Amino acid sequence: MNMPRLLPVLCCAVYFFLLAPILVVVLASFNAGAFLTFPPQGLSLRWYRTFFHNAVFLRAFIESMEIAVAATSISAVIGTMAALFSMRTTPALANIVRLGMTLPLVLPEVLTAIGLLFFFYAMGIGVHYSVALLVGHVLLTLPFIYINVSTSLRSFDPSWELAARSLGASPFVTFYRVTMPLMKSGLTSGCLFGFIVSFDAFSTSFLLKDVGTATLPIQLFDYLRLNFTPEAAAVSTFSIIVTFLIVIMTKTIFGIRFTK
Amino acid sequence: MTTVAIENLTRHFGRTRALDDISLSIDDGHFVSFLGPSGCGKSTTLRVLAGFDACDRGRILFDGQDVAALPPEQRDIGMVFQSYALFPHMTVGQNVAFGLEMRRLPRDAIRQRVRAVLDLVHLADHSDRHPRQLSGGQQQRVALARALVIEPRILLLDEPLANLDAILREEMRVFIRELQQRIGITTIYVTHDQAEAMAMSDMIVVMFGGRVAQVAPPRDLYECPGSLQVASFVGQANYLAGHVAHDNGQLAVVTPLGTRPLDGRSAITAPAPARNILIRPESICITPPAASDAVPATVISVQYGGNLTNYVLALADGQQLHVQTATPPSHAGGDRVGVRLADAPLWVIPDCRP
Amino acid sequence: MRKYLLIVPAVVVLLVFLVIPYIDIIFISLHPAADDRPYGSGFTLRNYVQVLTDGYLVHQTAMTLWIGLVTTCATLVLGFPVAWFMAHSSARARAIQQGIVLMPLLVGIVVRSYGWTVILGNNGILNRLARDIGLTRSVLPLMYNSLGIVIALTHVFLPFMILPIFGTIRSLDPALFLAGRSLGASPAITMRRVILPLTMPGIQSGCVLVFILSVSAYVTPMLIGGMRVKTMPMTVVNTLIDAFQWPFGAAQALVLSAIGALIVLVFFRLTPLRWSR
Ligand SMILES: Nc1ncnc2c1ncn2[C@@H]1O[C@H](COP(=O)(O)OP(=O)(O)O)[C@@H](O)[C@H]1O
Ligand SMILES: [Mg+2]
Repeated sequence: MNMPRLLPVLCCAVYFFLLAPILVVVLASFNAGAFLTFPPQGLSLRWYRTFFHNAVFLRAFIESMEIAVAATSISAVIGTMAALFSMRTTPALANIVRLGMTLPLVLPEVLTAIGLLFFFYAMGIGVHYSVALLVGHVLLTLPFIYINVSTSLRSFDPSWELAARSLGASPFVTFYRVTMPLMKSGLTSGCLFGFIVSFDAFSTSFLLKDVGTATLPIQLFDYLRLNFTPEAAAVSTFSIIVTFLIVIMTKTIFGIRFTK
Repeated sequence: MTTVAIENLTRHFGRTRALDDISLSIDDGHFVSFLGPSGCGKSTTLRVLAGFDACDRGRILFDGQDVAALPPEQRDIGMVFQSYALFPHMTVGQNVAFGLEMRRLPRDAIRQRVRAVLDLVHLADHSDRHPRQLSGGQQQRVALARALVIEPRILLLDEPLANLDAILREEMRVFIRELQQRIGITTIYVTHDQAEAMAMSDMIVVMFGGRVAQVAPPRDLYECPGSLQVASFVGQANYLAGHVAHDNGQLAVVTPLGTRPLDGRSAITAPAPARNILIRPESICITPPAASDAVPATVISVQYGGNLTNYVLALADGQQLHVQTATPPSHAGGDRVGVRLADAPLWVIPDCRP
Repeated sequence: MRKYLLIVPAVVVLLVFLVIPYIDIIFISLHPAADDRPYGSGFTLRNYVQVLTDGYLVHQTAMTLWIGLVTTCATLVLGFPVAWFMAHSSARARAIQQGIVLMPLLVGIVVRSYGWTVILGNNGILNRLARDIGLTRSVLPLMYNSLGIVIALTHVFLPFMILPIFGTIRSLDPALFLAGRSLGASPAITMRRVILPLTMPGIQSGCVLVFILSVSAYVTPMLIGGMRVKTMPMTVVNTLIDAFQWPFGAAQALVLSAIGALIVLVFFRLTPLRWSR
């Protein structure tokens, strides 16, 4: 198909636009100077050293990991069950379930978090024990698990389960030997998406975090309001590296492709 | 081996009555087909037998043992699905071995039996392929092997040939029937294709709207259908108004095309007025228009079918007749011809007035 | 039936933690404020009246919606050609481009906004560059204004525009474009009369997604606007958390959402769906 000459040029410009701020942050993190200057005044890892000695950031990083793992695990169970239900029920009901499960994705995150804040105060729990935070993150991750598992179940033939049963497999063995392997790729990519979304979430964490705790994005945000040293860039780059490592690990362990 | 008895099976889906008081017994080693139009409850019957679906009422006995309370995995059945339902993440060998693994057979025994059954379906060298690398016919044979390798008490097949092309379908008919007879396994086969049911079965169960309409061997079903509905579903049929009368001390059927003896399998024992007489297309002969005891007719259309020729004729009163001959077409539309009945006893459709 | 047990947890979670909280927001917005509790007793519409008559808030709401609209247009203008180009690239080139488009989604929103402060700041890369090549002697106002916010939001939400449009273009029959041409239409006319209407579903979901996301964005306007430009989500959070005025904050959030939803509806009305399937 013949395309206008300008199209590739425009697209490259857009791709540059998409990558620029990320590249800038990564490059800035290796800055040897005390201030964010560009191009960097020499290369060094000094801001990483500062970061690794900064207990506040490390605690926030661990908090982020914990909440992302917990929320993704809970969502994985609930979302997978819902996806299995959608597969087994009538198309009309499955459609309603799909609408419900993608609702948290369509509703404004800030508004949902406000609702949860009010709700948990009314329950008398407030933001204590990170319960509200966990629930907020479950809502954030749930749609991703559901969508991915559902997609991988779209070509699932319910007869597979019946065939296994007729061959003598109990419901549990059927799930373990037939259903699970066939939806594994969807569940894996769903968990991956969920984890990343939770790990990077801001508004929900900001409104629902327990007093005195912070996730990494929040700690970073707080820091950025007052400071402009390249330590923020080091923290950012570190969180980018963690995310990419998780993606690559999942890819190699579970062998899923990351497109789609 | 195994006999199957079904007693008063009833199943509702909401307000639809999918199964309505089905009773049936199946002899050991028999090949029984459930035949009927789509939505008549064939699959539901099979699913209830397999234990995938519960029934509202009724009993299912395998060898006299009530299995209604058993989950599918404990019923010891082999099932072949319309979609084949081969596990896509397992190779052919793993698919076939699955049922044996569930029965906790030793590895060596599993390997041997998988080999043997794949030999049986001529797929011994496809053991390491995945289902998607096989043709439709090969997948079908794997599904069959997977169901048979566990040596189930009964074999259930739900429209297994529906996804194959015409030529392969005919081949597989022969293959399945031959295999079934060699193993001698009690088999229940669901299909909406009457030719398939006729070709393969010892006994055919015709179903309409969740009810059993007739249970009979293929030949009886074709020649002596119990109702107009069955007669029309199994093969093509002409119906002539006629009556049963005494003729030389015998009961005979009088039709506009002539009089012939009453079929011996009929329950009619006395003369009866105004009945529907079944005339199959091949029981009508086309003669020259002036032949003796022939009734005049006009050719409306001719359809050439290679080994057979199908005619649509019209009698003087306008009634249309379907006629089938084993000779090449010898008439064209508009020709005037004569028709007479073949010299065979006639079947009167029970309790059915024209 | 046993299979309904599978959906019970999801229904409970969505009902208790989504439906009820949203009803609660409406409920609270209809109550008067109180000093010692989150909200007082009695029913009132005063919070809404207050939001709709306060000139400052009205201006801010309009500003927020305007930023949302401009961001949506910008992502559409940049996103459509990219989606088109991606869809018509070779498999290998397409995979690389998909990677580039997805990559920003793997990087947190705080980090990406931070990247923009480094680029757009008064001492940032662009300003430095402009000064170095002698383009200007004073500071270019790129940050701390709505221009900066729109630039950053466009970056942050561009993937959400590209991906749905890419999806619909991929599902189009490539022969359609040729068919249009063969019937005598110029490329531009084929684009406008054939391709655009057929990609409408993708354009619509992209636009709605980006609009909702950018109107309710909090981090990016906060970091780029540096408190000098305030959008409604910032005010809502201030009212709720810092001023502890729940009913008033709830009303602000609901008014913004209601107007946003209205704009989405009007948008659906205006964009013809009658060609698409
Ligand atoms: N799970 C179900 N829920 C509701 N109705 C069903 C279900 N399964 C079958 N039916 C209905 O029961 C009737 C018989 O279906 P079935 O046994 O599948 O027919 P077939 O003879 O074509 O195999 C049909 O009217 C069908 O709509
Ligand atoms: Mg069926």
